[in-house]
Amino acid sequence: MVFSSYIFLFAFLPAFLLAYGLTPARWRSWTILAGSLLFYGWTQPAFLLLLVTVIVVTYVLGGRVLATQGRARWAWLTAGVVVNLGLLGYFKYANMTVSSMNGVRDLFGLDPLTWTHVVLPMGLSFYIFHAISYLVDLHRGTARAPKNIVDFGAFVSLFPHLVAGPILKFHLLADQFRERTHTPEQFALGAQRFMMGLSKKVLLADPLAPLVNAAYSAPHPGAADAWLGSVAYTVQLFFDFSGYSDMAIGLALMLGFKFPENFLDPYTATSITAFWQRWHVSLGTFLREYVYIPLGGNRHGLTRTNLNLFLTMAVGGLWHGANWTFVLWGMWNGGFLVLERVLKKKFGRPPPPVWYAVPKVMLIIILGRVLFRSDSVAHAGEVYRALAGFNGLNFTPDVAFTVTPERLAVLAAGIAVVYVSPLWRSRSAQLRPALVRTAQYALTPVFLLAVATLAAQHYAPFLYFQF
Amino acid sequence: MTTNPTTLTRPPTRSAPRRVLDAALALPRPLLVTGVAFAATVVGGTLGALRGALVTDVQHPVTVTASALLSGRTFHAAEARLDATLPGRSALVATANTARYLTTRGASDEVRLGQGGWIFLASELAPHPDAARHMQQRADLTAQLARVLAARGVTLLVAVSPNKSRVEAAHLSGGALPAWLRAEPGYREYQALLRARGVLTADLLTPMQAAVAGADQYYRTDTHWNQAGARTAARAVAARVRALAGDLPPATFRTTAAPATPRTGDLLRLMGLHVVPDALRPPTDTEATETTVSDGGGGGLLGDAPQVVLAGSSYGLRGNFEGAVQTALGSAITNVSREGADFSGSLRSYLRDPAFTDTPPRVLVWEIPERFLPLPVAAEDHAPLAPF
Repeated sequence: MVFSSYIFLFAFLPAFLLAYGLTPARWRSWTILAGSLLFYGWTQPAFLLLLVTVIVVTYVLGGRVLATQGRARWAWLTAGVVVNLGLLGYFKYANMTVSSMNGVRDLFGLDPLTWTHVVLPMGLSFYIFHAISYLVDLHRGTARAPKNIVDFGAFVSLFPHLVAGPILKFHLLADQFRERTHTPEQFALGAQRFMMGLSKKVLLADPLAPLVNAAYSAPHPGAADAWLGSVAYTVQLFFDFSGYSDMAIGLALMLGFKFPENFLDPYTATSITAFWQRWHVSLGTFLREYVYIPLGGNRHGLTRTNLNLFLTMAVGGLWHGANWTFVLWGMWNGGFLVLERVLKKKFGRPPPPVWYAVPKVMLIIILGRVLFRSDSVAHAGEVYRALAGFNGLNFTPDVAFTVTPERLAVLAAGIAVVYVSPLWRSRSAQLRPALVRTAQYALTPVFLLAVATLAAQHYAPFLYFQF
Repeated sequence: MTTNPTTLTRPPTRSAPRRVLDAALALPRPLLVTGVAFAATVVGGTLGALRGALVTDVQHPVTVTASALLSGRTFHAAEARLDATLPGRSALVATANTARYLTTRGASDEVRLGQGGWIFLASELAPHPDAARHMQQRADLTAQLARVLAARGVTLLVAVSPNKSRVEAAHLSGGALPAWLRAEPGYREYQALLRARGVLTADLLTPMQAAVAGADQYYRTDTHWNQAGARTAARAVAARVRALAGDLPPATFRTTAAPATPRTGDLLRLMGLHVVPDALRPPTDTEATETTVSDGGGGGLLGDAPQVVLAGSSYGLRGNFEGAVQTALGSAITNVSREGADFSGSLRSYLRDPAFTDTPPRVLVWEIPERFLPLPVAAEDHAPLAPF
C-alpha cells in the first residue's frame, strides 16, 4: 500500500487513526502492530510470514543477548545478525549471485546452474536493518529492552517507516514506545508534514517519471536524452524519496513518534562529504554506526580509514539492490569521499565558493546516478557514451515525444523548490509575517490539488519500494 | 478587605475532548487551517469511499477468497474499486487537469495540445519504430481478405481515414508533424503497399489536405473529422465506388442542419475537462449538426441485397459521413460502422453476420483509422479476416 493512494488516505489511515485513538495508551502497541501487519500483509500476504519470522526470531535472540555476558553475548548477537543478513542475502542477493556465477561458468564453457528466481519482499532491506539495529543496540547497552514482543514488533513493523524507511535505530525509538504524548499541535504538525510530502511526490516527482523512463529506455540515447533524463531523474528521485520521508515523519508525528530528519537540503551541499551527511540521513547514520565503526572507523590510521569509508559506501550501494550497478555506484561515491578526505589532508585549502562547489557536487551526483538508474553496467555505459556525445546530440523520438512543456515546467519548478526553499527557511525570520503566513496557507490548496491529481494519474509506486 | 468570590471557587473541570478542542483552537491559525484541511479531506474521502462501497459495481468485482486474499488480488481489486467508485471522481480529475491546463498547458497523457485550442490524440504523434513491419502485416491480411471476398463477388475498397494530426498539422504546437513521424512510413506508404498487392483503395488524404486550406476538416477538440471533412472524404469514397459500380440504383437525398450548438469533443473528455466551463479549457467546437434523409428511390425490392456497405470505425459515425457518402454517390448505402472498432472490429462482426453471409454486397467499403496501422497487429487480427 502506498501513502499516495486513495485506499491509504480514505480507508486505511482513517480506520487506523480511529482504532488508535480509541485504544487505551498501554495497548496502543497492539494497535500499531495489528495495523502495520495489515498494511504490509494486505498487498503482499505471502511475505507477512517472513516479517513475523524476523520479528519473533530477532526478539528471541535479543533476549539471549540481554540474558548473557561476554563471549556468549557476542555469539548471540552474531547469530542474530547472521540470521537477518542470511534472510536478506537469500531474498535479495541470491539471484544476483547465481547470475554472476553463471556468467563465470559461461566463460569456462560450463552449463549454467538452474535456479528459480526469488521474489524480493517489499521493504525487506528496511525491516532487516531495523532488526539488526535492535540487536546491536541491546548488545551495546544503548537502549533499554522493549517491554514485550508486541512493542518490539510494533517498532520493526511501524507502518510509516516499514517499507521505505527512514531507517531508525532502535535506541531512538525505544523510549518513545514506552511513553509518548499526543497533542493537537503534534497532529497538526504531522498533517502539515504529510501534506507537504504528498504534494512533493504527486506534483513534482510523478510527472517526471515518463520522461526519465523514456530516456533510460532508449536503446541508443542521444546527448540530449541522457542529460535531460539524468537531470530529471535527479529531481524526481529527490522529491519522490524526500516526499515519502516527509509523509513517514508526518504520520509518525500524528501517532506521537518523532522520527529524525532524512533529508537536509542535500542538493545545496558544497562537497560530496556534506552531501552524504544530508541525503538519506538515516541510512548514512546506520551505515556509520553499524558498518563503518565496526570496521574500525577512523581508529587505525588514514589508509585504513579511507578503506573503511570506501567499503562502507560499497556496502551501502549493494544494500540498494542486487545489481553490480549499485555496487559501482557505491564505489563511485566512496571514491569521491576518499578523494575529498585525501585532498583536504594533503592541501588543506579553504572550501571553494558555493557557485563553483554546488554545481560540481551536483555533476558528480548526476553522473553517479546514471549507475543507480541503469538496468545493467552495459546500459550505464551506453548512457555515459550518450552523455559524452558519442551517440549524437539530439533527442531520440521516444524521448522527444515525452518532452512536453508541462514536464519542463515541473522540472524547472522542482529545481526552483530545491534551491529556493532552503533560502526561504533561512530567511523566514526576516520576511514579512504576512508573506510567511500566506505560504503556510498555500499548502492547503496545493495538497488538495495533489489529492485531486491522484484521481487523474495512473498508479505510481514509490521509487524506494524496490530497495 | 473584600474577597473576590471567584478566587474561592474551583475552576470548572474541563472534559478531555474540551481540552483537546481548546488546545487545537489555540494553535497558530495557519497550522490549525492545514490540520483541519487534512482531517476534513480524510473524513470527506472516507465518507465518499464508504458510499462508493455500497454502490453495485459489476465492472470492479472484489473477490474475497483465501487464494485471492493470499495473492493480494483482493487488495488490488478493492483499490481499483475504490478508485472507480469514489463519488466526485470526475470532479477531482477535472480540478486537477484544469489546474494543469491553466498553469502549464499540461494535459493527460492521452492528448497533446496544439496551437489555438487545438487538441490532438497523443497516440497519433507517438513514434512507432516497427511501423513498416506492422503495416506490411496489415497489408498482407487485407490482400488476403480482398481475394477471398472477390471470390464471392464482393469488391473490397479500403478507405483509410487520415490522422487529424496529418491533415491539421498546421495546428500542432510546432506547426508541423514531428520529425520522427515524417521519417516513418505513413498514410501514402500504406496506400502503396495495398495497391502493390492489388487491393483497391480510396485516397482520402490528398483531397482533405487540399480542402483544409479552405475549411478545417477536423474538430478542434475531437479526434474525428467534422462535417466538412466528412464531406471531403465522402466525395473521394463515392468517386471510387462509382468507378467500381457505375450502375447503382439512383436515389436523392436531402440534408438539413440544426441550429448551431456547442459540441464537446472526445479529446476534452480524455482530458477530463468536459464538465469545465469554456473559460478554463480549450473552448468547445460549435456545430450546426446535419442530418441526411432519403427523398426516395435507390432501394430495390424489400430484402434485396445492399449494393454498397460501409464497415468502418467511429469515423463512419461522425460528421454525417454516411449521409455525405450517399449524397455524393446518389445511391443508398448500408452503414455497419461501430464505435471502438479499432482496425477490423466492425468488419469482423459484419462478415460473420447473416446480413453478409446471406446477401453479400457488391462493394464493401472498409474504413480504417490511420492511427491503428503502425501498431502491432492484435491477436484477433493475426487470423485471416474472412471467416470462410
